[in-house]
Amino acid sequence: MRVSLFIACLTDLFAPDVGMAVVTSLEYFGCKVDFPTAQTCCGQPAFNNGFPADARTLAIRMLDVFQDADYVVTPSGSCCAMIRAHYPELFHDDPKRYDRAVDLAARSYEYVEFLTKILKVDLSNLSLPEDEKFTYHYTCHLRTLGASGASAIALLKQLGGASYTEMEKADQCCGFGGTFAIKYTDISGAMVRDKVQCGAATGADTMIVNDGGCAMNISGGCHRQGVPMKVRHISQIIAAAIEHSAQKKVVGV
Amino acid sequence: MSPGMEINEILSDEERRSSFLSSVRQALGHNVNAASPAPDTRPILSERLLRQVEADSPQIISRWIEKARGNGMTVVEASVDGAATPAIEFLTSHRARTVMVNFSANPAPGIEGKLAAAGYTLRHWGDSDCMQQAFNCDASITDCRYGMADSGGFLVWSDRNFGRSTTLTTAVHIVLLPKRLIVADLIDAMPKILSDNNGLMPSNAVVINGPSKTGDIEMKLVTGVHGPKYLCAILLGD
Amino acid sequence: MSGVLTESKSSGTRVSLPVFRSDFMADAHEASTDIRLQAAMDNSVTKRDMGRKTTLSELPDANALRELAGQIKRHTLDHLDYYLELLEANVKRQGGQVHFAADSQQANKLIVEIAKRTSSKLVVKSKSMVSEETELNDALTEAGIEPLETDLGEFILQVDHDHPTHLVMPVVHKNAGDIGRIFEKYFKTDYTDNAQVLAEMARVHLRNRFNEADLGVSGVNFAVAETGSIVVCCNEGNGRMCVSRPRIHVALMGMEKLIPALDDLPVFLKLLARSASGQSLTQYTSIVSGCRRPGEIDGPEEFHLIVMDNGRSRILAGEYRDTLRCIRCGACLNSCPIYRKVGGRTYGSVYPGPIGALLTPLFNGLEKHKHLPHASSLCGACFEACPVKIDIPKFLIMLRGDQVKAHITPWVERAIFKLWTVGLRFGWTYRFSQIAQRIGMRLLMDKQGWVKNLPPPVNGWTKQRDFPAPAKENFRRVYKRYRQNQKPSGRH
Repeated sequence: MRVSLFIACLTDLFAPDVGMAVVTSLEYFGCKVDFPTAQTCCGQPAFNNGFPADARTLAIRMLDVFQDADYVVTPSGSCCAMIRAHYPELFHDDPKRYDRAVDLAARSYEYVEFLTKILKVDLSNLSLPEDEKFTYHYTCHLRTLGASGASAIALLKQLGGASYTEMEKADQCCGFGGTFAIKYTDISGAMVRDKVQCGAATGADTMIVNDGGCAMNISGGCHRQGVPMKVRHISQIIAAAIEHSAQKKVVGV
Repeated sequence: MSPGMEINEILSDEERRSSFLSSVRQALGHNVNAASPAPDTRPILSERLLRQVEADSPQIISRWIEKARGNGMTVVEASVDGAATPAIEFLTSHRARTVMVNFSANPAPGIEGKLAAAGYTLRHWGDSDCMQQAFNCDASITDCRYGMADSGGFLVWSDRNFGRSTTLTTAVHIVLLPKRLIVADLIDAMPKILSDNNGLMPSNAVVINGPSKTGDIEMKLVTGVHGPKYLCAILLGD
Repeated sequence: MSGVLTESKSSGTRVSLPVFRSDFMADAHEASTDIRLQAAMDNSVTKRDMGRKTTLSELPDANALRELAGQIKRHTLDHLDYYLELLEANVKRQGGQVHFAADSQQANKLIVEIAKRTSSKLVVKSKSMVSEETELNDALTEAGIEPLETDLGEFILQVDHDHPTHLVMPVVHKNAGDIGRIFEKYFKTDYTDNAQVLAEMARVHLRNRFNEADLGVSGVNFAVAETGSIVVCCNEGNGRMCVSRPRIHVALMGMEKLIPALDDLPVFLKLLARSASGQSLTQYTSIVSGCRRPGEIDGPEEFHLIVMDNGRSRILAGEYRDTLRCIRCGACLNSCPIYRKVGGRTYGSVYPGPIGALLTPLFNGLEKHKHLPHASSLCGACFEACPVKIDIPKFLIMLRGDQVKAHITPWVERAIFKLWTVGLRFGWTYRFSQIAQRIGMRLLMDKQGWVKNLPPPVNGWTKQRDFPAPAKENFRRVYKRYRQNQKPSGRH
């Protein structure tokens, strides 16, 4: 199975290890992964702020970049939502590109979606290097993708050494919202503080998220408030479990 | 008439109506000067999406009781002849002495006599000052048209013999509900408002789902705000 | 026609919705650090949102029912002219009167005229957001007629000269202590914060006045065109009192509140109370068709239905027609993470929350309400909560686009986005901008790799949280090296 990775700009710049975790885990599950280097951005920030023409310019590039991909997988829930929910409508007056957009949307998956719906992975023979307590933040864009957080939580629970506690208001937005976090700083701040408190209250070591923006926002909030909880993309946890299990094999455990 | 007309101009009812409808027709891209025809199609209602209790369910009565109690109603079962006993018990427990009586049918013959014999002062809907009496009485006892098992509520509607006030203005309300009048679902009861009235709507129909309540103050549940605080349903028959 | 007001000149443009406060940023700033407010929100709206989800799961297929409800509303809006005339004919057939009001002032004027003609001195009101929209109470008072709110929350607000901050729970922003102090002053009685006792005070006071009232004004949850009926859903019983006891009943509705037939009503009844407050139904659902019939002992002698436009036809005409589907359940408010943090007062409008963020600029113009379409993270919780499937995030984005087209968006912002698009359009500009960001950030970061103070215009981020500096090497570099190490000639 050939998978083309769409890294999403935030992950590219701020969390390359998330990108690598996605690559190595997909390879572990039997995929051949490539990375079309011409990719830039899905255009979501322009679209969300009322600049659809600019978003369209970037979307056209994306259509080209991923023209030949069998599957497009991204660790960013919001970018996947942009492609699936909004790319077709961006080209409503351009029939050829509209068809291509619909086609791209049908081939595009968020990472957890891909693991559960297409690869149908079973993680129960993997375990983490150390026992770890997790909680989960439900990335808003899962709503647009028609997904629930249940898939990610189910994957997590399969891993040896992982325990999960649900936090209060798990599906309440963390306050990122792209430029919202900068423009409406007070409201965003109140939201991220609430999210950090809810997470900390579970006693979890790590909060799992499905999106680069959420990760930056919540980890920045934890750090500012002195809350020691880590914020990780689920791919990093899975990759760590894969590596640990591979080492166990090498050592002959 | 243009929609931006100044308010100071005095318009006749007809002018106001005409201008209003013109604005709407224009907004919809319809002919501004003529009434629009009925639509060709309408969204199809799916019973599957609405029905919560099957019409032939054997659990209709038990579900009604469970839901009604969950809504804060006291529910008692009695025979047609034995309805007075739980009624008197309920009235006593809430220290009611004056009772407004309003039945549209005759669900429990003889119940009034037994209440009077037990010392309650009865007023009747239809007495000359019954509007004021409905306000002053401690309690009311009525029947209703139907019960609905999906949410544990009951349906009343007014006519010459049945008032609005008698299910509303007293602190204590007892409603007699023959079991055979309990239908499975709201969607079974709703059409009866028309079909039981020769295709005409009664002036006032109410679905009552429990005692009066509010959560306006810090979400703390308070009962008996304007309508009855204590509501008892006596289910009659088998 | 986009159906959006952008001109701010006063000729022909009348503000439709009253605006109570005008400094969104200042109010948001104050509210977002108000711990008490946020605790009150969590105790009320967050709980109601959970209740909504729980009770909706009782339905066979809540999602499909919401879709159906949305379709029925859309159909009704598409044929609103037909259904309005049908409603009118059927109300009149049952002895009622129908008055069409082009705007707030006309609506108020009609009601005052009815009150004067019938020598009504005391008007009891059950909850009506449309009457807040028209500021009916002020109009009645000016005409020497006493308006009395009978919904407990609205009564508290009337006594305190305050405004509702939620569509369904008007005093969600006040706690029991606040209400205790208000009643202590008003009733000249001992202070208590016991909810039952406070409600009892209001009941006794209002009950007597119900008896005296000449005219009752109610809102309308749904108007059924085929039967000429109006539906009033309430829990307290004051709605029933207002439509039953006074001689005159005036029902005031926005023209979008229609549904076609009685059979459609259960679709909305099964969704409304669940969405609003996690109940299967409200305690009382009154279906009123005209005035009392001959021979009936109680009930109004006259029934008047006031159907109001007040800018709705302009919205109907444009791309925002679906925003008129709204049944005012408040579910979007309860689900909204922004509303939960800042409360209804911050929106400054009679309609707060996500639907208010759409309707307020649509009624009053984008110029007057620059922030409302933007004060959203587009999380989509509102869309998921809406029982008639109004795609609120989509409409917020459209309003933002309309602001750009109307040059209401600051030119600086427009310039930044243009630059940003150029930067991302070409591979080489993308790489260049990445390098620039990396260098810039790494100059700002501390030893642990965190930036505590970003420069303007992005300093809003670091006011509230730290910013992680970009990684030393971006993903592309790391990936490239990974692939090179994998080549057969290389080693792991």
